[in-house]
Amino acid sequence: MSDPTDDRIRQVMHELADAAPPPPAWEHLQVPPLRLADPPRRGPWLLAAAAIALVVGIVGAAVVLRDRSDRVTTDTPVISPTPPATEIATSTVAPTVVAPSVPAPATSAPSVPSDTAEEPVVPTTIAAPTTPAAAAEGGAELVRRYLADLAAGRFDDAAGWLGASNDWRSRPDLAALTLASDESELPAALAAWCASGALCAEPSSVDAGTNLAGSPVVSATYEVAGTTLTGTFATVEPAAVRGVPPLAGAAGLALLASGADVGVVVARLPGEELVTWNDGALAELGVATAAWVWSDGTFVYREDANTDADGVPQPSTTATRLDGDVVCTVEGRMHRLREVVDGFVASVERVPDAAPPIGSEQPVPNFAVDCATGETTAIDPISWTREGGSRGITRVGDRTFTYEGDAEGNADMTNEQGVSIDGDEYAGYHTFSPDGDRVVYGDFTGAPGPHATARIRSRDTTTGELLWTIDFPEPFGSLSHTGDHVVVAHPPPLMVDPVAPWETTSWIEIYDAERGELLLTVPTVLELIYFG
Amino acid sequence: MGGQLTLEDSYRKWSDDLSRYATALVGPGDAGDLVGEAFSTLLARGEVHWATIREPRAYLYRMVLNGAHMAHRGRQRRQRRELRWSDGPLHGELITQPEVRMALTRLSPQQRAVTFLTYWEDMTPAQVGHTLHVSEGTVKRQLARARTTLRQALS
Repeated sequence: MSDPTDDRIRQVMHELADAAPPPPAWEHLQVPPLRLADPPRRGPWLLAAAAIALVVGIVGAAVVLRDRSDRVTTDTPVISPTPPATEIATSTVAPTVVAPSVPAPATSAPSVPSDTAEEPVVPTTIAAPTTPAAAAEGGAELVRRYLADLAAGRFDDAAGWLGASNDWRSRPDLAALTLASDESELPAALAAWCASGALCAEPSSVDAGTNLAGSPVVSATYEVAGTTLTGTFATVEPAAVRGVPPLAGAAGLALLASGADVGVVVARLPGEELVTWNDGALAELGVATAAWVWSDGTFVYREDANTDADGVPQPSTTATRLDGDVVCTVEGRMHRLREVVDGFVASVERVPDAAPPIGSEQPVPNFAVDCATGETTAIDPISWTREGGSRGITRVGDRTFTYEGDAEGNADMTNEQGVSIDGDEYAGYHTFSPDGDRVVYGDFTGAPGPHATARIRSRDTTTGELLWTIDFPEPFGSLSHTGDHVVVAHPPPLMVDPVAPWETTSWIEIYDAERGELLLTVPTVLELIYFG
Repeated sequence: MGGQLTLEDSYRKWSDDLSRYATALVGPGDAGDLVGEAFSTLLARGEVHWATIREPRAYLYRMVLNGAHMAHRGRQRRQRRELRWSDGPLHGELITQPEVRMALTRLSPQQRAVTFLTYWEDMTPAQVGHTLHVSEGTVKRQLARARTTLRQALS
């Protein structure tokens, strides 16, 4: 039968299409149109600006491999927004112009061995570019050759493109290599990285562009299991590459767990396969297309959107152990699963039968369900809906927090004593330490609201004290508090050219949870679901 | 290849479709800017570049979506736009279901794009994926999330 919700969505889409204004006259397109936002960093000028900045150098490390020290505000409560220091830093370096240089299409690899080079390696043949576009292409060409050498297993040559000195381990863009091996030589470390789940196959394309902060980046596009993935690189003068290929395979989970110092990682591989890493045990949980997946570190929950015979949406949730053993399937949204003496009991919310009357709210029915028998008992609700918002209870460890959410996605949270744990700031997403004593909150790339920011904050959930603030140059993708660390996943930088998969991960940053200091940057295209 | 049509011919052929698409992504107030910006960018790159584009229509859809995503992150403009989305009338007609319009503001640009292409263009997930350069699985996941959000708004 036809889904009435689908019919209404279709109707709205048709109304939207009918509301479309006529496009501007062709003749008016000869001059730049009104900019959508932030003129200095947008639009067709970006490519030229990016190209120039790429040529002049001093570009790359600021993009993926930014020095965190100027971004974090430790122990300094910041109520009003602080300037995005990294954006300032990256934009102010551009005027440092030096003579442009770009590699000519030479076929030979760098001749200076990486382990003896103290300065960035210069390719054997250099030709001055004639246009900014050519200069930008020069940066892409460097990365293209570097990745070609990696794909061919020419690790000595690949290391040469990185222009690293003997202390390459201290370079932020190469530090992740230490997760894969204890090799002291860079070529051997690259080989170990590629053998540990990194995407070292040759990319389908390599393109120069800019991120939202206006900094040039080089994007490598890979086609894996029907999915388009993006690796992010940069180049610096005179001609050296920054960055390593992202982790993409299941083996990479072990490296991510090591980097974040956690025992459990849940992720979705390219191709939708769910995988878990549990203290050394890797398990495949099957393909999870078109499903919400989350985990509490003990179970993996998969929610599938279903519609009952009357067209009422009624999701079902399946919980598995980390090894893939299915232990419970229920109708509704399972928000907690407990193992009891003779089985499992799930706490499940189900969609109310009717919408709340305007101006009032109603509880979302909540049930305890015996997973073996299906026996269902009504229990106290934990969330309430109303027109344009909701409120509810979140339990973390022994702590209980309440939230008031509005239609924009902002949720104001308070602790047991009514103390705010997210101040006056917009907070679309909260993640807690396992004991609930610390919270980190910010907005999400995937569901931006009108007040979305590229900022995260940490607070003490007992006193409400602000511990630190971090500003990113662009919105982040996801956020996990593991107790000791905070893991932030970043989508690929938005490019001038159409590249779509911004909701995938391009790299993660691992921070010290107490001080907000960046500990490690790890490139990865895995869709990360849980760290803990 | 894009070379089969000049930029101007491409504009005349697809600009109406793109305007409708852009309206679904950012609302009618910014739709014209979005389409105009995409073509201005292409004009700056020139016909030679355009001739190298293999699937110009899909390319244009991605450019518009990309522009929407960038605009989505422009804070001040976003606030103004979202206010218009949630409170004000749209160009021409008022959307008759404000709860759905409110829910649309909760979708990411890509979710809006997937929803529009599915429900207006009647594309299959495979066709949407081909147009947006993402996998069919990604399209299905995006669509499921969008529908979940919209369904909750309608429940």
